[in-house]
Amino acid sequence: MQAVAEYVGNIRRSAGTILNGMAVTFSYMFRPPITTQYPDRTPKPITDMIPERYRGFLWVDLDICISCLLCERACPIDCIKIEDAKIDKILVTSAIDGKATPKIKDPTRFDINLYKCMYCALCVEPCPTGAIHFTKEFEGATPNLSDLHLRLVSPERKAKVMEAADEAAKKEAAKKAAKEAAAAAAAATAAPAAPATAPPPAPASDGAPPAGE
Amino acid sequence: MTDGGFVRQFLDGLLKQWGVTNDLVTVLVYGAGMLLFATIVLLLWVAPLAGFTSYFERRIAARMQSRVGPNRVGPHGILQWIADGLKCLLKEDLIPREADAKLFKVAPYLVFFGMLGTFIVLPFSEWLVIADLDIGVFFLMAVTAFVAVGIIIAGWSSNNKWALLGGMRSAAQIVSYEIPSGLALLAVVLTAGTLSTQGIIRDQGWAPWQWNMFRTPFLFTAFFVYFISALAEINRAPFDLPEAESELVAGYNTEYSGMRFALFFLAEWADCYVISAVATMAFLGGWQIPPIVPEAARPLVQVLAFVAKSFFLIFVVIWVRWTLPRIRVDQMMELCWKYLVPIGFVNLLGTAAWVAFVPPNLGLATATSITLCVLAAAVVLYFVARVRYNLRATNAEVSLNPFV
Repeated sequence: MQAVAEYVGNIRRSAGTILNGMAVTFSYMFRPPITTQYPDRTPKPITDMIPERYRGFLWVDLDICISCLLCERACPIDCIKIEDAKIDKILVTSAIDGKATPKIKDPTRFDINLYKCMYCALCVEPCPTGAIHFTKEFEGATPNLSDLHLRLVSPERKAKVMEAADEAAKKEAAKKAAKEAAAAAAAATAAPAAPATAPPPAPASDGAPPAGE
Repeated sequence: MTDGGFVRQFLDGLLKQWGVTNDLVTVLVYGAGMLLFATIVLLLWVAPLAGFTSYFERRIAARMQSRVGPNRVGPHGILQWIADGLKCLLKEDLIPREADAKLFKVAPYLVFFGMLGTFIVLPFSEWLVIADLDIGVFFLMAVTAFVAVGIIIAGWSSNNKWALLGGMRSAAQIVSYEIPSGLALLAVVLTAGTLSTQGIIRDQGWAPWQWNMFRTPFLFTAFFVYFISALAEINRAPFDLPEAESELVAGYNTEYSGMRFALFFLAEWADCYVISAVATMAFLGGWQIPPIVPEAARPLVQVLAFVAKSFFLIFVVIWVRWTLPRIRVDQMMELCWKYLVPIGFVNLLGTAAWVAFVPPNLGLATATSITLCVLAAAVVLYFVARVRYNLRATNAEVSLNPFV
């Protein structure tokens, strides 16, 4: 008798649980899918859907970059390479706190090897003006590895910067020469015997930043 | 309509017109005619049907898992199956070096024939059937056994342990489950008094309480016995042990590629339709439609009714697949021999007694049908309540749009 009860109970329980289970799956027929159909059928552009602090590709706002090289030194895998030229001192607005920051150098080369970059943010943290920052771009698939070697300073920009640097150097040299001349004149009027001990005049500048700067 | 069905009538008419009396020519014409019609059926119905079923299944499976499913090829991905078929056609037909090449090559065709043969007796409407054989249901059971042979050959000839295990499991499963499904269909045959598929449908009516399923309590259980064992026979989940992905890689079709692989899957999805159509034919009133449908529209409406019922059952097959986990081999055998076979025998005896002792014109028969219908409706209502509960309990966002 007990065996019969168990037998019938087994059948009843299987039928009941199967019906309940099928009700669960059937209820999903009335729920919308949660799939994001990346990349072409997203409800809004994919960059609007990823989080605010997402670590995508690095990018540099060259206008506010003061070429302090902190990022280059911070990078543990040396994927940032910067060269720069001295320019006239200007004030740039920091992207972090909006404060005016003096800028006396402008990069003539700012390369980032995105295929080496490990997105550690060690370069982003020390940046005083917030020039180097993460973007929300992440689609780096390319047939050429060199496409991922970012050369942020374009040749045109480099030419402009060099021009500005030349001008700045000329101005500097002129200023120095004027200063020298003034000093010489002052010295000459103060003590005519002194010129023998005065420092030699600075050589004509060719745009290279003076050593020890 | 005379016996022999549409094709036989057509060929007889043709022979009469030509004035052929020679036996040999008659046989040749019959053979050629059958081949021609088999090709037409294959091209126009079976392949698109299997393809569409694959699309249907993938979309439903996706929805049940909160995914989208194929939606790129054609509007809402409806042409996905053509792309898949073309891809399989273009792939290399690889035969492993250690395989038994001849058997390996022939196995998919056996599986395919086992599926295709059933379409000979499967009716679509009162007029549309390739051949209304007197032994319809018997033929159906017999020709389906080809699938088992094909699967065993595929498993053996691959010369691969996973394929062989899959083939052996499949053999055990199909041989076991033929019995309960045969017993369930036999109960229907007893009630209808004929093996002909058209005869069984003609014995039923259009209304649910005239369907075989609701005719007697025994036929009601027989429907479930048939459906469960048919699922096992075509190796559908939860009885997909022969191709259990997590255990056997892909079972008997592990070594197959290209078109031969596609044939296995074509057969699998067409088999979905076959078991649904057989269940529709035997239990759900087949192509029967209300008599108020005008004469001119009847052929079309009948086909639509039959296909709609079949597709509902295909939906249930898919739904079961994505709900229930795969059972173990011992559970599979236990379910068959301890539950389905005894229940099948009780059904058979009960149906025999019912046919012998309960006159069809008595009120008892009608009362039973109505009671069973009410019972089924109650189960459906309980089910709807459960679905509602599931949606409410999870605070689900409800979206009734089927095309997302």
